[in-house]
Amino acid sequence: MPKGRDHILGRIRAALADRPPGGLPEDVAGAAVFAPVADPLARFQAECQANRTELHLVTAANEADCLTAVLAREKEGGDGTIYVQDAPALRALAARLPAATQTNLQFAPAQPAGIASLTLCEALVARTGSVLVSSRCGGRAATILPPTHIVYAHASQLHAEIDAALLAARSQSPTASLYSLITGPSRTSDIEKMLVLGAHGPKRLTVLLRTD
Amino acid sequence: MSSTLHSFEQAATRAAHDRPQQETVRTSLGTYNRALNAGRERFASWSEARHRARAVKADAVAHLGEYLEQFEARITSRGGHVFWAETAADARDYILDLARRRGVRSVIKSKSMVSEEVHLGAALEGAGLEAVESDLGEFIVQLRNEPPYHIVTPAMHLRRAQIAALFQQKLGTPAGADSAEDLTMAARHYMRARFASAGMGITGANFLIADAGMVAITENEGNARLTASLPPVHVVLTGIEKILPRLTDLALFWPLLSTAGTGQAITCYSSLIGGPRQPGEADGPEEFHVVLLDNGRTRVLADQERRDTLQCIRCGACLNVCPVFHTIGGHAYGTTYSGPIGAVLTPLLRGEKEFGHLSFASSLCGACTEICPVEIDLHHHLIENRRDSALQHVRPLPERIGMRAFRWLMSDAARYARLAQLARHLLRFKNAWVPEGSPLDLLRPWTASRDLPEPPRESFREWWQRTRQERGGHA
Ligand code: SF4
Repeated sequence: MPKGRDHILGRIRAALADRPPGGLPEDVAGAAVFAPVADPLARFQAECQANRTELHLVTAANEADCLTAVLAREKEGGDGTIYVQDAPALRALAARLPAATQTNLQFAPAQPAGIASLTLCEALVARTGSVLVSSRCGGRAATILPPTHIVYAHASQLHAEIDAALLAARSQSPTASLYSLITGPSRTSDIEKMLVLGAHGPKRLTVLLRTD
Repeated sequence: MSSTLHSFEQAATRAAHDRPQQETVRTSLGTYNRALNAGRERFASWSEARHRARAVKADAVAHLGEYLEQFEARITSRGGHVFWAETAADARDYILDLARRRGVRSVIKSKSMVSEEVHLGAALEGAGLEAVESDLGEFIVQLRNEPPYHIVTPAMHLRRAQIAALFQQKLGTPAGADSAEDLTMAARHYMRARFASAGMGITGANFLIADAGMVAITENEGNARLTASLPPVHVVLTGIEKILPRLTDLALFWPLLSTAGTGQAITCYSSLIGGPRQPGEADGPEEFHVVLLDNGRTRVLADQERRDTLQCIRCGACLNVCPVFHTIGGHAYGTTYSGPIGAVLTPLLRGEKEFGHLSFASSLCGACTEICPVEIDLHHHLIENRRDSALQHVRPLPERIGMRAFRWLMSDAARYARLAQLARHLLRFKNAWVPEGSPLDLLRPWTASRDLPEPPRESFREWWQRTRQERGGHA
């Protein structure tokens, strides 16, 4: 087996014996490439609207009501449960939902997928209106399998640029096996270039953004 | 004439006359063009973005060995496996062995051109495994038993009605369910059960991040995310050239790839995967394997002149702007990679002898070079390929005679002027002495599908002299 490795690396070394000079540019996505984001929150709002992310700005006072209203709308899903990532902030939030709401802290992809998942995220990106999650946000399937994915985030997690968000995620969750920058609900245009939301992933992506 | 050349000529001619399909492709590319133009506006400077992207990829290619080793060490440290496949057969064998060892019966795949390159689908089926493509476009062409038409949009040549009929026949969808939404939902439901039961998920990769030791996968549908989340084994099959040095390079490459590929600001899911499920994680595969494929790439690396083709990020933009691709489409090439990048790369990867003709299937208009987000000098590479082909092969006799005559003609200005004048006269009266379209008409192969323009009464040279004289010698 290691034979292939040695052969390929050997051929690469031989091929690059005449390696051309040249360096790696710093700050590849800097101001010369992308105009700086002036107001990250305003940009995040505008981009979310463009990419069909449903964004709610909430505070401690109204977040439970907002979540209740969002969940009341969800119809699809076999057993009606909401999967909630097992994190203190989300436990506290779930405890304030109406008593009839079925929540589950153990997400099992093999079970009939619930109506929605509620997870944290690692960071938000203003430039593209994206949510950066990792496998530490309730696992891998929780942020892709349910028909609706609800993200609970705080305004302090908002970064103007993708690279800052990636570095933040890596320092918060250095051992995560997966990071995923999510921009709007799942989609496809494979049939005559017509946009359809909800291809294989969530049909709806909702962000509750705490601003206080 | 090689058999690949023969079938290329036949397929290209057929496609060039398939008006309905061209219509479908053109409509799709029209939508792409509008999105691309809007997408480029989001950059402060698109040309600066391309410039930097080229510099980063050139560095990645120039230090390929070091970066790959760095990548491998990080993957291994998380319990992942890296296999170096010298050939397509090595890659197939490794994956089939793994499937056997794990007792896999069904495989879910997400879009990967490298998997097409090594003909993995056929190998899996040959080994008795069910292998389903989960990307919608890829699934559609799989149901039709066809290769992808385009590296980014595999089913761009099909109309909705054709897809509806296909789904009705193969999936039993009801007759009325023929909107894009209905068809997408039918595929979604069909695929859910496959995701849950698959023993192995296979994806490609868009980038291999050296400093993070992670594989970057870009997609809109979420099928690659599911492929990497649900099955107990995840295999990434990719080429060694996909390296990017740093995690932060993605801040440029993710928007660049999606803009060039579809015009989107960024694709819906831009994911990074670095290993199997880690301690403390809720789910994820037990095993994670990255298969790094050479299959001719190190040979291209050794070619200083055309080494930059390894910078390609497979965005498909060069196909989308190519007038030849517009006319003959993606299937006529008969290769995994079509369009300008395919015409440059295939002869280098798979041999000039069988695929050299592709480098001639170009008008050399340069639209590909102009759009390429990593500034690959595509049309000059086509010329270099042609040069090599001319050096290696004796060209056909008529071509050799023609080129000799051309050299003789062009090496003397007065001779050229006299003969050009004669030719103009002959052409003008051609139809008088040879009936157009008759077997005697030597221009028939040309005029069969084109109009011969009326030759001008006066050449540029004559016009120049005349106007100079009229203006008293001061032109
Ligand atoms: S050659 Fe350039 S334009 Fe063509 S697919 Fe590769 S990166 Fe895109």
